[in-house]
Amino acid sequence: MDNIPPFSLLNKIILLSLILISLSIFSYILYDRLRLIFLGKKAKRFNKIPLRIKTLFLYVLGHKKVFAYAYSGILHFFIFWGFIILAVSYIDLLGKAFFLNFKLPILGNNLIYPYFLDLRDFFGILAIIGVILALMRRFIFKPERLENSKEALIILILIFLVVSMGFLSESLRYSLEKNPANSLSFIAKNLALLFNNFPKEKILLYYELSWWAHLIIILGFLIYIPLSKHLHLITCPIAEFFRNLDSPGALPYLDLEKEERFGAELFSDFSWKDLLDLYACTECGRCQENCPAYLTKKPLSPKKVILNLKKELLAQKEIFKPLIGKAVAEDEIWSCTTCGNCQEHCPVFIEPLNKIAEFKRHLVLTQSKFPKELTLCYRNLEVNLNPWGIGYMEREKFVHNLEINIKNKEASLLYFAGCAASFDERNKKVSRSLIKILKSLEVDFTLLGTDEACCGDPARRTGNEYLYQNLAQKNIQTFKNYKFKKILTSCPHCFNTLKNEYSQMGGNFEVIHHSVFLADLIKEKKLKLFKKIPQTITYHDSCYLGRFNNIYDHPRQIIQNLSSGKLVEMTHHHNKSFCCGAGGGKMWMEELQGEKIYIKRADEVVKTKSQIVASACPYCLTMMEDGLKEKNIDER
Amino acid sequence: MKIVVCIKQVPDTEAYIKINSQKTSIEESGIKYIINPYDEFALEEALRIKEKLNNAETAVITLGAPRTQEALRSALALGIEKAVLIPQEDFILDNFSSAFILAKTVERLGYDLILCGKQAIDDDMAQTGGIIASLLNIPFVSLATKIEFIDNSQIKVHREIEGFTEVFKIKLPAVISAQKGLNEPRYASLMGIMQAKKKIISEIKIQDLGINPENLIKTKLTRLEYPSPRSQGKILDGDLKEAAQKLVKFLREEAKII
Repeated sequence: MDNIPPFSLLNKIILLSLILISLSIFSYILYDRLRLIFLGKKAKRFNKIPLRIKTLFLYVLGHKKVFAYAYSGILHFFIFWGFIILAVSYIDLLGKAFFLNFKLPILGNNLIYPYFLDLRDFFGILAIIGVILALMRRFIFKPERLENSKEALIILILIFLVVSMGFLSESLRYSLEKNPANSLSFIAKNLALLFNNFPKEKILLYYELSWWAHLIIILGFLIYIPLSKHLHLITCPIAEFFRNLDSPGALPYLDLEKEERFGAELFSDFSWKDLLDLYACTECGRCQENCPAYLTKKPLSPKKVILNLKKELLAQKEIFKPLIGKAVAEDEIWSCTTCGNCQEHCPVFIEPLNKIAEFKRHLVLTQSKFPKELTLCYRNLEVNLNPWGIGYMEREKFVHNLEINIKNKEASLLYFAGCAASFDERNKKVSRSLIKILKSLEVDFTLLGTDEACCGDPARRTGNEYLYQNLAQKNIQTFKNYKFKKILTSCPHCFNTLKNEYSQMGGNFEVIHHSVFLADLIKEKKLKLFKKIPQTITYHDSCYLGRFNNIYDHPRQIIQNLSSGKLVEMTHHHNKSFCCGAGGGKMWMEELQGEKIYIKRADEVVKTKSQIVASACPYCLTMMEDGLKEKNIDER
Repeated sequence: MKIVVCIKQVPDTEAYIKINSQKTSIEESGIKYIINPYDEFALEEALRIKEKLNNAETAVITLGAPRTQEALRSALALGIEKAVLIPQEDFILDNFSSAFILAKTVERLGYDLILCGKQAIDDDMAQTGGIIASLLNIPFVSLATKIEFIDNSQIKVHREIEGFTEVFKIKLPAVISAQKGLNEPRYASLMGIMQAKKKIISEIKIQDLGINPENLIKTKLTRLEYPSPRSQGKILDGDLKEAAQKLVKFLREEAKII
């Protein structure tokens, strides 16, 4: 110990000033950025606190979603935990500089402290491994989703320097002290051997130099955090804590009577959580890598939307200027199929989908500016209550000669057929088959017939909240006149809207999708399949069934009961499933930019070499058949 | 510049039409009504002219049952400033009497340009614009596909006919009837809808115009009939030779063409 002189008063003053200066700069930049969040509107994110705390453990400390990508998951886990342990050790380091007998609470205990140092070294090594893995990923086998920014490189170098400088200074100290009781750090012990032949004075000089260098790197890093994408260190845990815990399938409710502004034109039209999201983005690009619009060369990348908005927020500060046409282009907004991949795969629960939805609302409700094909769709919905525009009186015609009792107000099951099943020729086959099954099982069911209106999904997903609410209100009113127990739907869009969105307007009903309904009947052995088909089948996951409602297994169970052939998966399946291209009202718009989404998906079908592609969604069914037809493959 | 648009509320193109028991009109129950699609082009053109000229005022008028208020409300939501309803009482009007009432109303409102659709899709008469122009003794151009302003008192109107585009130069005031292609009608914004809810639709009674419509009626609809259902097509089976023989037999014996 006598070899290392304690800190002189001058040194302590210099040290204290350095810390105070860097802390002030850090806090000022942090304040300057984070205060902008409070310019956003209110959001209900203070409910379900136990679940939110669980999120912190599972997703922040436990990295559950980060691990969805194994390589990046592991390297981030190393760096993350390395950082946390090292941060504690820095308190120890500074404490000891000011007070000779400083001891960390609990960890500083003579019995525990040596183990803490071992742990620190261990995590320090993990952090360095993490940095090396990250550098390799960025510079040797870089995935397309990453963009190599100067920032990313600076951060990795800083992490490397901060850890290795710590090791260096620690081992120099050890070689001066040679006191095992003071440091059991195994790194220090082993590295110290390198300095065995050095004169003491030199080691002391190097030690002091490395100590100050280490400190300056730490403080420099501190300042760089809020300036760079490393701000996510602070914002991510907060954003994850306040994540959306409602159904991912429900768009936020818009009170048309109370609100004076509809959708988002300015930053102040977004909620504070939306603005916080902009700072939480780590630029990992998982959203982009799974975005069907981006993958078919359309102008949209959810990552770019978030980053451009962040850039714009920092440029505009509190002087709000219109965002559409500047930070985000109209064709980006209209490229979104609302497939939900972006929010599904974001490791920190950012919600790009809702931001795009708010832009759509502004364009439609305030500016009346949208792809012109939608005008026809809206008018059809207004007048004939279906997007096809077929006379509303025709709605019940598809059940002809099935002999069922429609509009029976007492039936226990209400089959909400939806527009596709009532008006589209191909999909009528599906609804008629379903009705035949219900009849053969003598289920007590009914249909709404001409009392039924479109669920409103095509209107809501394209931003026309007014039209959506009119349609929803009409259906909710109708439902209340019936005495059913459950609503059965065959369309995942109807299913999602009725189940997750009608409750926002006072319509709380039990809703079941026919894939779950049928799978349950098979399981209960009520529905028996006498003959199995021999073909191999691939199943196309519908976004609104899978990602938004977590129904992946039931349709597959039906297929496995139906076929003696194999169930093969496409390249993208389950929660990574690739959109058919028709969601988000895209069914009613032209797909003019980039490649066709449905063709890309049809390619995946062809690649499986399966003989049948199964779908549980009317839109997907239409798109898949069109895609396969264009590839000159017949309906199979 | 005062622009008046005459519109009509008509059954939706997809509506299931049933003849009523008197066989003089249709069953109204279950029918959804829309603004006559050609009148929408006229409304859109009025709005575009208003947006282009600084001093233009727009008004929309219609003649009809209380339900036609919805059509006026939709026109207000698009941005038309003033709406007038002329309630139609029980009696049935013909084209001349309707146009007469509209002409009188337009006179009362004041006008520089009167716009209407080329025809209503319910009875397809295509007379209203022409009769209004005659009664007001002003020029009429039908089937307009483009309207250009030369100055505040002169316009150029394009109309497309088979193989040509005719361009007329006319002095205002005038009546122009709109054809598909004149413009792309807009969709009302929610802002527009909200504002339209607050606007007042004024009413002008036929009696107040000093008219006894029954004296004006020149034509009377006596009966509505369904067209005879189209008979089903016939598919002749057998090979080429057999089918040809069957065809000849059919044409000679049943159709009696050869």
